[in-house]
Amino acid sequence: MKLNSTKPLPYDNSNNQIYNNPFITTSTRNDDEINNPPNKRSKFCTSTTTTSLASLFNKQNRHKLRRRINSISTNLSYYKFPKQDEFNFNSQPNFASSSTRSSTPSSNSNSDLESLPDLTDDDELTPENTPIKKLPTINFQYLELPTLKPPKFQLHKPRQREISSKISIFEVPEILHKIISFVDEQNSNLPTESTPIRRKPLNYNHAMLIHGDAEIAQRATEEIQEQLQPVYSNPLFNCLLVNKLFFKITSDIISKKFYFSNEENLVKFINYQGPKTTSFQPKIFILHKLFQTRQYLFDKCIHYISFKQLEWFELYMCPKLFPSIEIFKQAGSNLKKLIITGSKTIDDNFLISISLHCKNIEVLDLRACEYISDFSIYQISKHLKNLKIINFGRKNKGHLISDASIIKLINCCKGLNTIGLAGCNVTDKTVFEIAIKLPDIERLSLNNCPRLTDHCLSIFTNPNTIHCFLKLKVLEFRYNSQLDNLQHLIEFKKRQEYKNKIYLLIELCEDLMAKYRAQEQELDNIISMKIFNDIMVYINDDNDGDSNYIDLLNR
Amino acid sequence: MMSPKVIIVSSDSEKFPVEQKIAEKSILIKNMINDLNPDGLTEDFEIPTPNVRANVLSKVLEWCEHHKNTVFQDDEDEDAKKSVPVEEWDRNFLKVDQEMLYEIILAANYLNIKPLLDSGCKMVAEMIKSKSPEELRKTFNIVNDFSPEEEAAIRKENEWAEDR
Repeated sequence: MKLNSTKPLPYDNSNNQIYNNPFITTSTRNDDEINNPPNKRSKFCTSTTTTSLASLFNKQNRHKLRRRINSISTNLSYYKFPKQDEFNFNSQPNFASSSTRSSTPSSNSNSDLESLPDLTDDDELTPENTPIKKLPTINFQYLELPTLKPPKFQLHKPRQREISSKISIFEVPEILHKIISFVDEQNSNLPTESTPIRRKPLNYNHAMLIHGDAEIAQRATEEIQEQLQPVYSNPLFNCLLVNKLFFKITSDIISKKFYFSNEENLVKFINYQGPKTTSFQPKIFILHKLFQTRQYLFDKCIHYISFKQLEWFELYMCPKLFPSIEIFKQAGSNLKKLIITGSKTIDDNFLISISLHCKNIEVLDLRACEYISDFSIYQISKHLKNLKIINFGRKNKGHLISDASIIKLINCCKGLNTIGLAGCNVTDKTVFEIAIKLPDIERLSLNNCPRLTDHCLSIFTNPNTIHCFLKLKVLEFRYNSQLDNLQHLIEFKKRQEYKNKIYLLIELCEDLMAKYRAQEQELDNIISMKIFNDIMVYINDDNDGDSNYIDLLNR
Repeated sequence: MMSPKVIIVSSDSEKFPVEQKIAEKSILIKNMINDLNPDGLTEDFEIPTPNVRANVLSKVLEWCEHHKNTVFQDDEDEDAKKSVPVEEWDRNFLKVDQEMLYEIILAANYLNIKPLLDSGCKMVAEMIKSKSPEELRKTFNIVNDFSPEEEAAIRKENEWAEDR
C-alpha cells in the first residue's frame, strides 16, 4: 500500500534527532519530550503521517505560534520572554514548556515548570538545553512547510479514503503473528544433530559391501560437506527491529524457543537481561554442545526463564551442566521430550525425581549418561507410561543397563516405537520381549550388545512371531561380531519388503556385512536353483496338459 | 432442478454466483448459510462481502474452486502444519503483485479461509527471509516508529538472537 509511503526518516547523527522532517522539529519534539517519557517520542512521528487533517491544522497553528515566539525571542532578550498574556495565549501546556526558562515572576505555571526537567532523563532534551536556540534553522523548514506540504497531503488523503476499509496486513496483529511464526518455522534451525538417512560406512570396503558399486561406495565414504547457510542475521532478529508491533509479536515468538549452541551468545543473553525483562516462557529449551559451559552460567540463565510451558528440555553434550529439579517441577506434565546426552552430572536419583514430576514424557534420550542404571529405569517405568522413544545407548558402563530394567519398561510402555540400547548389557530375552510386547516398534538399535546371540536373530523369522515387527523400519546390529546366522535377517528383510511394503534398513558393521553378503549370495543361489529346478520339471513334463510339439506341427 | 447458488457480492457490487460447496470453503460464509438457512438452501442466497473488491474476490473464489475437493486437516497439529511448505499450486496461484497478495490475505482472513490465509502468510514469510529491518520496512511500506535510541537498545538487548 502506498499510503504509508515513508522511507525511514534520515537521521542527523550528530544529535540523533530526526531532521528534515517537516512535522518534527527540535522544538515540537521537545514539547513532546517533556509531556511524554522519551521513549514515546517516536509515536509522534508515526501519528503525523497518519493523523487526520485536523491534527495537522492543529500543528500548523502551533507552528504559527512558534514562529511568533521565535521572532520575539530573537528580538527580546531571553529572560524577558514571554509576557504573561503572550504565554496564556493558547494555554497549551506543551507550548508553555518551550518557554520554560521564562523568568517572568508573575507566571503562575512557573513553579510547575521548574519541576519539569525531572520528567526526562535525557540531558540533551531538558529545557536547560534551551532548544529555542536551535529553532531559527529549523524555522526555515517550517517556513517552507506550507508551500510544500499541503499538495502532498492532498494527494495522500483521497487515497486513504478510497481504500478506507483496507489496512496493511502488517497492522493486523493476528496476521502478523501468523507471518512471523511462519518466519520462525522456516528459519529457526534448532541446534539438533540431523539424523542421517543411514550411517556412514566405516571404510571403503564396508561401503562396497553395502552398496556394491564403486562410485556410490566412494561417495558414501567421503565426508559429507556441511552445507553452510549464507551468513545473514536471523530473520527473526531483523523482524524485531522493524517497528513496535513487529517487536512485540516477534519477541513473543522468540521467547517460545530458547536455544543456544554457542556460549558467547548465552553470555550476551544473560548480560542484557535486566530485572525488568519479561521472563521467557519457552516451550523449547535447548543447550547444544556447550562443552565448557559452567554451572554458574546455567544457573544465571535459568533465572530469567519460567519453565511452566516447557515441552522440550534438551542438554545436548553439555557435560558440566546439572539441571535443577526445580525446572522439572515447573514444567510438570507439560514436558514431552527430555534429552540429556553425555552428562556427567545426572544420576538415578535425578531421573527418578523427574519421573515423579513429569509423567507425560514421550521422548527420553539419555545417551552416554553413564550414571543412569537399571535402578532408575526400573523405577521410571512405573511413572512414565507414555514413553514412545527411549535411548540409553552408551560406550561405557554398559553393564549398568540390563534385561532387568528394560523388560520391565517394555512391559509398562506399550507405545514404544524407538528403542536405543547400543552398548547395553541386554540379552536375547529383551529382543524377544520387544517382539511380542511392542507391536508398534519401528526402530531398534542393538549395536554393540555383546550378550546377544544368534538366537535373537531367529526371532525375526520364527513362525510364532510372524505377527511381530510388522512396522520395523530400522534395525541396527553393528559391532556384534558374535552373530553368525544372518540368514534370518535376510529372510526378514525380504518379508518386510514383499509383505509389509517396508524397505527395512539393516545397519551392520564391516565383518557382519561381509557375512551378510556371503549368506545372501548363498541364499540367492539356493533360490535360483529351486526356481531352475521347477522350470526344468515343468518343461520336461510330458503330461502338463499342453499339446505335443510334433502334434502341433502336423495339425 | 439446478441446486441453489450462493451469490457473493463484492464491495464494488459485482455478483459471483458459485456452488454452495465452493462458497463454504469460507467458514464465515458457511456459518452464515447455516445460521440463516437452518433447513438448507432452497433458493439462491446472496451474501455481501463489503471489504473485498471484485478482482480479489474472483481470485479467492478461483482458489476455492480449485480446492473444492481438497480435504484440509484440522487444526490439531498446529506446529506440524507450520513447517509444511506452500503447495505448488498455491505457490503459483499466489504469484501476484504484492498489493494483490495482501488483499488476498486480508480477504482470506475476513472470510475465514484458513488454508488460503496460511499459504499467503507463508509466502510473505518467505519474503521476510534475508532482508534487513530497513529493507523490510521498505518492501512492506512499514513506518518505523522507533526512535534511534530505542532501536539501538533493542539491537543490543537482543544481540544474542542475531546469529543463531
